[in-house]
Amino acid sequence: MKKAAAFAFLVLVCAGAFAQAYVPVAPKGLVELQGRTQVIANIGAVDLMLEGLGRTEYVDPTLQSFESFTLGGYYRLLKNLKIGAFYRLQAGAHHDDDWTHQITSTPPGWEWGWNDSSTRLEHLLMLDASPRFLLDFLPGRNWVFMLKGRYIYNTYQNEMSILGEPSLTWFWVQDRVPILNVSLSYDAYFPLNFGDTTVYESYPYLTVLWHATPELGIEVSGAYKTVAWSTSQDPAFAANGGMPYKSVYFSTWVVSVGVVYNLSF
Amino acid sequence: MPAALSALSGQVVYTEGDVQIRNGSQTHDAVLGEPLNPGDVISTGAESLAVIDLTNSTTLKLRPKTTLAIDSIGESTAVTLNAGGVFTHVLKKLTGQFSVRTQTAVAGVRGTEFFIAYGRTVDAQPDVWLCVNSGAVVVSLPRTNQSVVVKEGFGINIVAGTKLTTPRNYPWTHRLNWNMDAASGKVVDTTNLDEAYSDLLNQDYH
Repeated sequence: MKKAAAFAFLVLVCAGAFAQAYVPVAPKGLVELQGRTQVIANIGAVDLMLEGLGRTEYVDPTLQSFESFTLGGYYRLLKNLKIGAFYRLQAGAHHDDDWTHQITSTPPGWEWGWNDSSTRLEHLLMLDASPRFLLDFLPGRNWVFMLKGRYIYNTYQNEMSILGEPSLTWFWVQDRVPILNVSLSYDAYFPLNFGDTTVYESYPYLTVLWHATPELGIEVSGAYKTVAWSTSQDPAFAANGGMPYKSVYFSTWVVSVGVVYNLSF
Repeated sequence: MPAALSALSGQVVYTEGDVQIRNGSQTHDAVLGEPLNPGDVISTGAESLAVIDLTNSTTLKLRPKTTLAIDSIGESTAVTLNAGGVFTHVLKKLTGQFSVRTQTAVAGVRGTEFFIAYGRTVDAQPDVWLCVNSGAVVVSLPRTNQSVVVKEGFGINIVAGTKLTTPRNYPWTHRLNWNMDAASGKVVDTTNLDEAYSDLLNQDYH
C-alpha cells in the first residue's frame, strides 16, 4: 500500500511539476520599489515610532505588493545603547510554504505557484538592542558604528528569526547641525525555526538621508536583496514525506524613498 | 524683600548654593540685598544660582557655574558673561540701553526676556547660544560686523563665536525655566545645554 502511494505521488510529481520546481523559480534583474513614511517623537530618553511602508514585490510570475505598519519605540538605556520594542502588522509577505500547488484548467490540473498573500494579515513582535559608537578618530570625525540585533516573532506559523545589522554612518554636520547622513548597512536575517539555510534574507544597502529641516528628513536608499527560498511543506505532499530538501536564492534590487518626521517634546 | 535700589546700583535678590562676588582682589560670599556696582564679578558654583536686579528695570538669573561681570549701570547698562549662562529680563520701562557681552558677541535689548549661555567648546572656540522668550534681541559680532535680530520664540547659535546661524525654534529652549521669582515657584534651571547639540548616537531611522 505504501509503495502504491509513493508511486502515485511520484507519477503526480513527474507529470505536472518537474517542469516547474518545488521551490520558486528565481527571476533575475528585477527592481522592487519601496516607499515609507516614519514619524519619530522624541520624549526624553524615549523615541516613539510609527512607520508605514509599501513595496512592490516580485514573485514569479505576478507582481504583488507588501505593506506594513510598525509601532513601537526605543529607550536609551545607556549613552551607547538603545533597546527597542515594536509591533508590526503586515500583509503581502511570502513564506516558503506559500509556494504551493495551484489548480489549473489545463492538464495535469495543477502547477507550482505562489499563494496570494496580499490580503493575509500577519502580526509581528520585535525586540532589539543596538549598541553604537562614535568613531571620531576617522577623517571627518562624525562617524557612528552601530550593531543592531533584533529578535522577530511572527505569529503566522510562529516563525522566529534574528536580524543582525551592522552599519556605518557618516554625518555631514554644518554649524553643529547634521545636514546629511550616509549609511552603509548590511542586514542578515537568521531563521530560528524554519527554512533550510542559515540566512534566509540578506542585503547590503546604502542610505542617504537629507535633513531638510530639523523636523523633516528625506531618504533615498538602494539595496541588493537576496532571499533564500527553501522547500515548501505543501500539505498536499506532506503525507508522502514532503518534497525533497532544496533551496534557491532569489535576488532583486530594492530602491526606496522615505520621509521621516522628527518631533521633539 | 530686597530694599529699593538706587538708580545706579544693582542688588543681589536671591541665591541658592555657592555664590561669590569679587571686586578687585577681594572675594566674598554674596549676601541677600547686597548692592552691586560696576566692576563686581558674580560667580555661581555647581548646583547654585543667583538672581540680581540692575537699575530696577533689569533682572538677571545666573545658572550654575556662571561668571558675570558688571561693566556699567546707568544710561547704558552692560554686563559681560565670562562663563556659563544667564537669563535676562528687561522691562520695557528701561530708559537707556542694556547689553550682554560674551567673548565674541553682543546682545543688545530693550523690553525683552532672553537667555544667553556658553555652549560646547570645539577646537578651542566656545559656542554661544541665545534664545528669546519675549521681545527681540539684536545680536552682533563686533569682529565681523555681522548682526541678526532674534525674535520671540527663536534662538541662535554663535558658532565658535564667529558665525551667526539663522534663528530657529529650538525644542530644547522650551524646557528653560524663566522664573526669577522664588515666591512664585522653582527658580533653578536644570536644562542641559548638551541638548542643544545633535547627538549623533541618538539617530535611529529604522
